[in-house]
Formats: sequence, C-alpha cells, structure tokens
Amino acid sequence: MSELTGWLLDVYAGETGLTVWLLDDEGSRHCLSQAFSTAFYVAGNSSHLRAVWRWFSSQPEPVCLSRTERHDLFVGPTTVLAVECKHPVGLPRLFQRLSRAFPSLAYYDADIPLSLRYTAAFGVFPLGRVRAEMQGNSICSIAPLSSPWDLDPAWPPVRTLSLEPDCDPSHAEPKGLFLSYDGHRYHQPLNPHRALLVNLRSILERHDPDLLLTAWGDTWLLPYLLKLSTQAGLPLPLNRDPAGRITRKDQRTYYAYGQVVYRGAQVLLSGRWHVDVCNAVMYHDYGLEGVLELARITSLPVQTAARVSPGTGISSMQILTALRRGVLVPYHKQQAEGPKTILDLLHSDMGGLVYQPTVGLHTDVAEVDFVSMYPSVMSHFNISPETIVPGRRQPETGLPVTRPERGLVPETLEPLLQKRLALKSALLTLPKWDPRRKRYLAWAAAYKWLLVTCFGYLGYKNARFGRIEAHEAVTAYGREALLRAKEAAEDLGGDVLHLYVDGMWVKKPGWRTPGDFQPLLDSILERTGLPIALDGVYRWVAFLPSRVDKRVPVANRYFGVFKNGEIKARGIELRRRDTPAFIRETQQAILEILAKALDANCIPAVLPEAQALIRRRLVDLRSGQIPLEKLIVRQTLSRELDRYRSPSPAAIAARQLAEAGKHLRPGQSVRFVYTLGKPGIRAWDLAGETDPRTVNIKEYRKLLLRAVETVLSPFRENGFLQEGIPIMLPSMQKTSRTASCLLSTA
Amino acid sequence: MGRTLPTISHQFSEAEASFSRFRRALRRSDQVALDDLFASARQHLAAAAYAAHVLPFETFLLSMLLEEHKELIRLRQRVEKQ
Amino acid sequence: MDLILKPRTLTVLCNPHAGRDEAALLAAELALSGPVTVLDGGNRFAAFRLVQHLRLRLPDPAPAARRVFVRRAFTCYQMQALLDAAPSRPQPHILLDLLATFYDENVPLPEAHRLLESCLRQVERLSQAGPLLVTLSPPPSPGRAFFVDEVCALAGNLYTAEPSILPTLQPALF
Repeated sequence: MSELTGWLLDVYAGETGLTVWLLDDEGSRHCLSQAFSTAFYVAGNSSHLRAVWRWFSSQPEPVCLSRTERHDLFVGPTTVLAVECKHPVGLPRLFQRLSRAFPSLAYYDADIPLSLRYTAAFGVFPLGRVRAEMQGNSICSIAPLSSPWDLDPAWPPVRTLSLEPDCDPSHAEPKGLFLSYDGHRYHQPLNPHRALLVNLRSILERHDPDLLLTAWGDTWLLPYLLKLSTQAGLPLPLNRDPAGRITRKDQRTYYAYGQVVYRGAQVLLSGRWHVDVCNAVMYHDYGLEGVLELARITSLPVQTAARVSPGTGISSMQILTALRRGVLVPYHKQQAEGPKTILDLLHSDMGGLVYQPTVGLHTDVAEVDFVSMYPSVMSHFNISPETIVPGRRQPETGLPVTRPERGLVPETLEPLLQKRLALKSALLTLPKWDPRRKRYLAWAAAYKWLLVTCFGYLGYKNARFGRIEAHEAVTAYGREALLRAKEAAEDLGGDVLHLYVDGMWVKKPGWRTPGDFQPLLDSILERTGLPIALDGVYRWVAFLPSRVDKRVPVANRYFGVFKNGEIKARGIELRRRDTPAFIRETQQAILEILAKALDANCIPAVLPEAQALIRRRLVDLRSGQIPLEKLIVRQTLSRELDRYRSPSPAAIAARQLAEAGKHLRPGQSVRFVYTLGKPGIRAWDLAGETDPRTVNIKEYRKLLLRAVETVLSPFRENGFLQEGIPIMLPSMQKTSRTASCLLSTA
Repeated sequence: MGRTLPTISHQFSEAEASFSRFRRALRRSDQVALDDLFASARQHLAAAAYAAHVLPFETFLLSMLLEEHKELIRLRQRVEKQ
Repeated sequence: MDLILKPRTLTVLCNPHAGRDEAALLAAELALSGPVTVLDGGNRFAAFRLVQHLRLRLPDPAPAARRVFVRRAFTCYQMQALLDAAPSRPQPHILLDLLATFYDENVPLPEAHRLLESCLRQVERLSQAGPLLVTLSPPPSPGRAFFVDEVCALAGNLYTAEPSILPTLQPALF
C-alpha cells in the first residue's frame, strides 16, 4: 500500500473500472486504475419492472439488480429498480439497449458524465488536490485535500504544448506551425511531412505535455496531423494513454434559446487535454484560466469544460447537487406546467422590466445594479423547481409562494454567488501588478456566465430540473425588486432616468460622489433584501433614441463616462459584433476624446479634437490607407442558404463561399467586405485577396458617419456641437448630399 | 421557453396598426398629431407591460392622456410665469 | 368559418397557424358558459384575441377570462404529461397545435412517434368525455407529415385551411 498526494487531472472509463490520472507532488504523472461501479434507475409498475429484470438475464454486461427507494425531486420517494454496472464503460450501451426495449419507462441517472459521478462519490474534482492510497497501480481510496471554492488553490504545474497554424486555414492554406513549449517558440514548416511528424513525436515524448493548446485544432489541425500520420505510417502519440482512444465528434448546428448555435467538430484525447482556442465556446470571454476553473467547479473533464456552453456547466452543477442529495436525475421526464387562468398568464408571462429612458444628455448620474439579480433572487427567496407552490400567491404582493425547504437550485448557486462576490471584492483591493488579477478576472467572467445562464436554465424546456413556474417566479421577484428600488430612489427625492431589469440610473441635485448615493443603496437593500451595488457615478451619460424615430426612446442604448474616466457604452456600433474594426475603433477613439473632458461643461473644448480625428479617418478611408482587415464585417448565418427569401449580406457571402467549395452551417459567422457594383459583397475567405480598389468606400463612409452621428448627436441636441463637424444630419441621411456637406467643410 | 404572449412593443404596434384606416382618412396635419399621441404613449410601455391589463389598449390610451396632462402642466407653468 | 364541436366526436382543425385565431374565438364562446381548458403545444395561445372576443360580448371580460385555463407544453414529453393528467370530465378541451413539439428534430422520429401514439390514446379518451378540438400546424419537413395523417384519421370532424378570398380589384377609373 502506498500513498500519493497531488492533483487529479482526469477520470474516464477504462476497460473495466476507471482510468484516473494523477499528478504527484514530485511532478510525476500517474495513469492508475480504480474499481468503480455506476448505477442507473428504472421506474414503472411492478409488471414492467419484472419484465426488465428478466431482460437483464439475457445481457452480457455484469450487473447487480435490486429494488430500492430513491427520491424524485417532484414526486418524492419512488420505488425504483437499481441497475448497478460493475464496469462503467458498459453502462451507456446497456442503457441504450434497455431504453429501446422498454421505451415508455422512466429512467434516472442514466446519462451522467463519469467525472460527475466520481466527484459525487469521493468529493475529489478535476485539478483539485487529493490524497490517494494505492495498491500497485490501483487506487484503493481517494480523498480531497481542497475545495473547488478556494480562492487561491495550489495550482498543478501543468505542462503545455501549443500548436498554431501560421494562418487561418479557412482563409488560406497554412505553410507551417508555430510551436511553443517550455519557453521555446519556433516555426515548423508543414513540408516535408515526415520531418514535421518526427519532430512533433519527439516533442510529445520528451516534453510530455498535459495540455495541447491549439488554434483550429478541432476543425483543421489535428485531423490534418492524424491524416498525415496515417499516410506516412508514423504514429503520433497525441494520446498519452496507450490504451485510450481519440474521440472525434462531428460538427453540429442546433437551436437553443431561440438562437442558432454552431459547434465545430471535436478531437478529444485520452490522458492529455486538447483545447482548441478557436472552438472553445466561451474562450474569448474567459480564456484557459476560466476553462480550468470551470472544470474544477462543475467537475466536467477539462476537454469538455472547454467546449460546452455555460448551460451545460450549470446543468452539471445541478446534477452534482442532486447526486449528493440522493435525488434522482431524470433522463427525460419533465414537469408540465400547472393550469393558469388567462389573468395568471398575463401576469406571469413577462420578462424583466424594461423602461424607456429619458432621452438626452444627463450629468452626475449614478448607475445602481442588483448584483447577479436573478441568481440572488433564486438564492434569497429559495426559488427552485420543487419549491414553488403552484397556483398560490402571497396575498399582499401577489408574488409566488415557495416552500421553506432549501431548494436544489439555490443550494447549487450559493457557493457560486459567494465566490463571485469574493472575487469581485478581491479585485477591488488587489494592486494592479498582482499576477492573480488576470486569473480572478477570468474566473469572474466564467462565473458571470454561469450565473446568467442558470436563470434561463430554470425554465429551459430540456433542462432536467427545469420548470416554467420557477422561471416565472424569478422574473416576478425581479420586477418587484426593481420597482422597490425605484420607490427607494423617489422617496429620497431622486429622479429615475432609466430602469432595465436589474439596473437603475438615478440622479439627484447635490448628489455627485459615490458616498452621496450610499443612503439609496442602504434603502434598497432594506426594502428588497438583495445585494445592490453602485456601478459608478457618470460625469455624463447620453441615452439615445431610436435611429428610426427620434421621439421613440430605446432601452439599453447609451454611452457615458464615469467619474474615474472609464467609458461605458451599450447598444452602439462599437458594441455590435458585426461592426468593422475601422468603425469600432473610430467610435471608441471619439469616446476617449470625450472622456478627457472632466465634466460636461468641458465637452465643447474637446470637440475640435474629435472633429479632427473624424476628418483624418475619412481622409484615410478615401485614400485607401485603411487596411482591408479593418473593413471586415462579420455576421452570423441564421439559416440554411436555401431558406433565405431575400438574401442578407451574410447569405450572399456564404453563397460565394459555397460556390468555392466552402460550406458554412447556420450559426457560423461569415466575414465579408462591401464592394463596388453588384452584388456589393465579397466574402473575405474566398481564394485570392480582395482587391482594395474594389472596396465600396462610400458604404464605409456612410457607416462611419452613422457611427459618428450616434456619439455626437446628444451633444448637438445640447448645443455643444460647433459648426463644421462632419456629421450626418437627419435630413441628409436619405439623400446623397452628405458628400457635398463634407466637401464644404473639409 | 415561455414568452407565449406578444411583447408589449408588439401589442402596441398592433394597437397602432388597428387604427391605420382611421389614420389614413385623416387630414395630413391631423395624421401628424395622431402620430404624436402614439409616440407619447410609447414613453410608458414598461408600466403598461407591468399592468398586464386584459385589454392593453386601455392602458395605452391612459398613457396618451398622461402625456397630454404633463404637457398641459408644462404650458400652464409657462403661462403663469409671464 | 363556423366551427361546431359535436359531443363524443373529435374535431380536428388543420391550418398554417394551427387554428390559433379560431381556437381563441371558440375558447371565448365556450368561456361564456363555463370553464375551458387549453393545452398549448405550440406556444401560440392568443390570449389577447380571446379577451377581445369576450369584450365584444361583455362589458367586463375578466370573469369569463378567469374560466379559461391554459397549460403549456414545450416538449412532447410535457405534452404527454399534460394529456395523462387531463381529467375525463365533460369540460371542453382545446389542444392547440398538438403536433408542434412532436416536429422537433432533436427528438428521434421513433421516440416522437411512440409518444404521439400514447398521446392519441388520451385524446380519444378526452373526446369521449367532453367536447374536444385539436388543432394542427403543417410539419416543417415531410419526414413527420404522417403524424398529421394519424391525428386526422381519428377525427370525426375535420376542418382544413381554406384559401383566403382575394378582394376583387376595382378597375381603374382613369
């Protein structure tokens, strides 16, 4: 019997039990096995269960059957048939056969990822510190030495090899790879293939990375390398586990939350992690640090954590809570909605309150936000699918009634909320040079996404523990909280400029510093019980009207500068994903110039600088100085090409690519440039470079002026704007008189 | 998930559209005034949504009246200043 | 179009909008004299239209509106649960857009079909207990078109979409 302390890297099904990878404190990686049985449950009437029992005697997998009672979240204690599989690897196929033979029975715990079961059984989690007792190569017992909620966990010394093609394979054929490991970085040509494979193999063997970090690894690089390896007959030890397989998944498009989502193909390794930064869903938001933290708290394996959306992360956390509580995890069963009268429906089928802001420029405005409002509501008011008492309302407030027993969802969210708060306050106090800042920022982003998603998941039709009444209860409490915040502000003599689901913009004469608004925060906390924070006090903020009709206010379209000089903008061009970099950068630059004014009265002084910048940009555009990359528009293809009645620019570009043999699926984004003549669009990823002389300069000028108008119009309304600033006056938007207007001022 | 009922903006647009014949038959200057009325009611869509009235148009009418009254107060104050 | 619910008969209405407006009108009429339950499988229950119909008949539509009960199903599993739970009472039922959740390509065809067959057994039970209208929308792809046939095969009364009549164009005077 020997003992090992270190970190848990990975867990997956082995031939009989589990394969467990540990990294010990001396720096050695161990590939170990562990006996582990997994169980699922079947519910039905006695004769059905007897038939199932008989069916099992004809199956090859060794199972242990028993009758037992387990807890269904909605129904309560339920008699079920427990099916215990000695070899986890066999469970999925066995279950598939059983559910085909007996499709109408209720199944539980049938498709739970192995790593979740492992965590539920022993408390250990990916990248967590553990102590294991071993007999030879087998783990006899394992226990955690840390918690996933630690703020400063001891981090395993992960070895990384990074591989990146020297250009985007969807744009052009790469000539070589950039390799990075252990401080080295160099360029390896793809040809000759043999040299590439031999070199890669040698690095994999010598450096033995835990993590293979790639760009386009899922969709191009690894499939390419595997193909080369097969053709040359040179094996590439991408897997570290000699008995393991490389799992390959196809690309897919699916619909969720009313949106088209595209997922690229996947290449998953055994014994090593492959993370493709271009195919990792939220990578751009929280990076590798976020992915690793997600693995820790969701218990999803690192390769999975990198590729799934936050919804899957939250779902895994809920499943973990259920497993720990002994609650059955339904395979399919979903709660149907209870009966509602039309009046109930009218009152509950609503989202958050979205007000029309007071359009225009305002000074000394505080933005006050509920911290993670919906998750806080769920936690504070114990809203969970099983705690809602359907059909009952509280007599005074009309809000839904909840049972007192701690709900599954609030229990799951609690540590998440706490750690997020701890991260936020740590970030406030950490000095700028502290290396932990970057990690905390990544984690905070990951947590934000999980928390944002868990609300949607509450009502999501495919969520195992979803229930529409719970979802509606959350929005009802949210609306009530926002209204109480408004009342708190007004009772203190404040003027509420805007309200948006979980945020409020308030001003009061004489209130200028954060301290001035503290009584408001205190009052809101007292009236709602929910955590509320001051996002900041704006020197000035402009709420914008609809582009189409200036009388119509639009929620969530504003920009402003906080007292500390920080710029915040929502709904304007620089926040839109499809805006070309040239326009985004120009709008950002204008805002930065405006931010130099220490208060609204100083704005006229900085406007000439903005004017000069705009003129320079227009000249650069006209003279072809803007690099083509900065003119790329990026839009998502929302449906199959043949489903477009009148093709959008994205569809036109996608069609061009399809004709060139590059087929895009709905949910994928298309890059293009506006060109002269018809069709006025050229896909960026077509073979050959776009000729700069074909760029439709007029179109980009129009877009730029529109973006300029967005950020300067509030100042014109206020009389701040001086003559001679090239702007698109409303009367000129529909005609082409803009050009002459500019020429006269140039 | 959920969101069976049309959004308040949609309900408002439908209400506006249901008067398109009436609007069409008005004189042009009256059309402008009618558009102003509808635009003013848009200021209070959030409250109309929260009210969840079985007949939303009644809330929109009240919103128009509300804005008219605000304008009246503003004008009265201006007149009284002189 | 006049929709008539006959007792002990399954009435099926099939049109591009799953009879959304007709169902609202019918539910309003039924609500004048007693409770009605709508099981909405397409998330398209036209509540406001229903209330407007009531308003044409009564100065205060609220009491009648309170007699209309709605339950929504967002997956075919939920639809099955709703039908299993529907009591065999003489109260009228409207199954709005019954097949919408069964058209979901994420549910494998054999599974969707199995669930549909189970649901149709409940539909037959309900049609014997009280007035029952089932509305259907056309399938988005031909693969599941036979679901429509299976439902219509049970119908005692079948209404399908009628092309809307184009207004006669007045010839120009000048």
